[in-house]
Amino acid sequence: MSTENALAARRRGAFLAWSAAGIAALLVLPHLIASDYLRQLVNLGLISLIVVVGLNYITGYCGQINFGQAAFWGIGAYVTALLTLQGLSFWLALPIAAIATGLASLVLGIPTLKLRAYYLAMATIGFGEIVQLVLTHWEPVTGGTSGLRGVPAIGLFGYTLQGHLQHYYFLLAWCALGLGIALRVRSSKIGRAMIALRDSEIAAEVCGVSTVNVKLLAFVLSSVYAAVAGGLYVGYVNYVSPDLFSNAQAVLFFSMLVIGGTGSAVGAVIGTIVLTALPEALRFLKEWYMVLYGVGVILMIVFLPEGVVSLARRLRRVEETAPDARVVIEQRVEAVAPRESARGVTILQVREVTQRFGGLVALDKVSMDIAAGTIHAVIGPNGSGKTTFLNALTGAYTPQSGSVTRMGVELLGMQPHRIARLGVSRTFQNIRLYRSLSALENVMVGQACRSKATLLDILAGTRRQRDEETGMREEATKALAFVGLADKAGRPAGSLAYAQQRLLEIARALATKPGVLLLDEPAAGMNANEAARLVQLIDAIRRRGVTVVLVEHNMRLVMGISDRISVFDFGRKIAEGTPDEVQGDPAVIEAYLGRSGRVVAHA
Amino acid sequence: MMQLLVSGLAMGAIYALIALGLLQIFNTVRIVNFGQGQLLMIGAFLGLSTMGQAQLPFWLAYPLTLLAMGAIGLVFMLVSYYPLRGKPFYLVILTTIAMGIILENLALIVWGPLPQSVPSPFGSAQVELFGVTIPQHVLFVFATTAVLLVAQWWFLTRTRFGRMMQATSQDMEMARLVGVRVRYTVAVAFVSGAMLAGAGGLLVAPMFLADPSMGGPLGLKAFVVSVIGGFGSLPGAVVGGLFLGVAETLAAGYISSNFRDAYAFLLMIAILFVRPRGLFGEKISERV
Repeated sequence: MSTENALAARRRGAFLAWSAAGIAALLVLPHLIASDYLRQLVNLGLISLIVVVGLNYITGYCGQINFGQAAFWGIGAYVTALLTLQGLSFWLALPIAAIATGLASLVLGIPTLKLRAYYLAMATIGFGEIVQLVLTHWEPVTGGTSGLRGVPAIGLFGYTLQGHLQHYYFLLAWCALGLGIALRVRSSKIGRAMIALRDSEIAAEVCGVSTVNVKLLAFVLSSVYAAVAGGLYVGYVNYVSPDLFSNAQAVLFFSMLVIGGTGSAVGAVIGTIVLTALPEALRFLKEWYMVLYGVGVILMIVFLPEGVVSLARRLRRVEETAPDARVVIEQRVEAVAPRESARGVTILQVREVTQRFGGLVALDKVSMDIAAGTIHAVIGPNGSGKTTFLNALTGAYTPQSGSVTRMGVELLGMQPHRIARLGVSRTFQNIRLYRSLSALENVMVGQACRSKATLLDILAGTRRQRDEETGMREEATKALAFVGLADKAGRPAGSLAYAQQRLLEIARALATKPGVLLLDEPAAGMNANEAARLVQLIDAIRRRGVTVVLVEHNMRLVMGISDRISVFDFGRKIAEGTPDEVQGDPAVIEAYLGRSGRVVAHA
Repeated sequence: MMQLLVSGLAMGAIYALIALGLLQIFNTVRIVNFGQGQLLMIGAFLGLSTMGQAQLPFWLAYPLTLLAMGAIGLVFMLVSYYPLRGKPFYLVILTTIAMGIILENLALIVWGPLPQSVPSPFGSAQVELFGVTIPQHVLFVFATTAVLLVAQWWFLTRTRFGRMMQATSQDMEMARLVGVRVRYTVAVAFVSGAMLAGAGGLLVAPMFLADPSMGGPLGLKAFVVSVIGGFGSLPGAVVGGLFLGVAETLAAGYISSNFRDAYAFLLMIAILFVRPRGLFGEKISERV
């Protein structure tokens, strides 16, 4: 422990030293630059950085393609310019510009963020063209191609900012603020939800994350960053014209993020520096410059698809995060609180559910009562509709007819995250973890649906937010301990062994505090030892009062722990009963072994 | 009115043609090529070189241009798609954009920045139909678009190789497992997609002018057309193209031509609101 602490202390010391050196370098930088041209270039680079850090929310964290940053930047710039030209203070104009831009992004995001990723890309490009045309042709307001001149400089505490140097420090402060907020959001439940939905949208949904809302929030945040950068831009250069806010510029912002490395604030910084400096360095190439710029972008993407930051990661061997020393392995604590323990009450009532895919009937009028506090297995040959059944229960599919009620509430037609919040959670047959988040963070995504902290709490870092975060961390640690992964808390989920990934999915599902837990082939790929431990775990889950619906092919496991078994064949439920009843049922034997089959020993 | 309608339909046929090239690639590799417009622009300039500068007869110039476009399509695939297959798709979006930038600036260097006129095999001959004068070239555009649509549909649904391309788009791994040589289907998609763009370029250039910056706006229109028709649908591309051409021409004629290009994108955003899968698109759902 002490060596670990010493190591951590040394690492923290090194980090502080590097940060101090970096800040000192940033403070003296403009004094080392002689030419006004370069000073202006640096300032414009800082403005670009704000736009790119904003882009990182929707593109880096959420994995969506946004070519609208230049247009949002332009709206921010023009609204600020128009208002300050009317005599309004910069400090009033800027928030108005940010709100106007945020509203524009909302209008654009609502229809497109529900769709596949290409649609946002195309809609934002279209939006960029529209904004460009409006800025160019709406002359009475925007001044047409000649733009708006004489925009007032920014006043600060009764003092007017002048010259490149003063603006440098002013813009630097804004960059620091933008980066600080980005880091804060990233380490909050919202940041985790963003990355979760990037890694697997459906898995985020079943953990109670409203993926559309989170994407919308990220998109609005991106546009607001761009708008602020636009306001700062006109306050700095005192002039604005439409040619700057083109789609080519939007592509440039996007390239900055991708070349630097998506999903990381450091990547945004590196990419912005590289693509601000590159054009200057290549200017001597004249007409070949743009050709080589294109070639350069392709080479960078082909050889460094994860961005320049991945180089740094490759050089500095990734140190595995040490296990959290505070983790006490108090196995059987109340990690999973019982919610409905009244045994025997019907907790899920399924009536005549029919799911068709084109002409194929995947579920044919399936009815079932799932009793609280039991383990209810669903078995059947491959393709008999078991997974489809779970998908229908959790909202991944919407069946054509039938009904699924939980305590009188109709679940069919509800979005998956609503169903999850009503206490129905699940795991997946083909594992869907958030690969780039740590095991602990995976579990914490599942907890977020019960969190009370608002976006403002997160931005301000209020006590409520901090307490809640600590509480979630502790609870998630206990949940990991419950499934036996206490020592894997800091590991990226994608790096865990197969069986451990299955257990992590269970811990994540339990973190939503479900009344019903649906397990889709949890033993698949496990050896006999692991499967035996899984049986104990499922039993422990049931003893905490959680009802378990189990889809599984391992018959020994199913027959050993199930209270009740439903058997599916070709989308229909052909039998139901206790393990003994089902094993003796001729219809079941026929489904498994064919018409001439005979009962095999332990089935 | 009739005159506007005809020029709108002619524009629409061109849009449809660009969208067909876009879909040829999309329907095999599920990649939206953001450099498709620039490929079309290269086709227009190759038409200029072969017919305008080298004075070749069009029966020689057209095949030569298409052949060259096929080769360019292959290079396009090898540079922008092949090294990144299996990687996140936004990387490919960016490389296709970069390819577009490269092509546009190469065209600037080779052919210069000035718009230039490209001859049509039909010269400036016109015909009278139902009281409207129509350039013969426009009729040629209609005929070619119709033929290419039928040919593409026949190729994709009625030939073995076309079905392999469809299989590739459904599930590349699975297609490979059942013996589809994915490398060839992908190559053919890009080659034929570039050739379709080349055909579009040869047909557009005589109506307007060949100009290095013409590709960007036309490529974007192809997205709009695909969204209107439903992404992936061939009949959708044609109906969507004709619809857009007419709507845009009428709006420009009756409202204001300053915002001509904005109408198309407003239409696209409106369609995403009310019917995101377009006129002929399939329902969009994620596999679990």
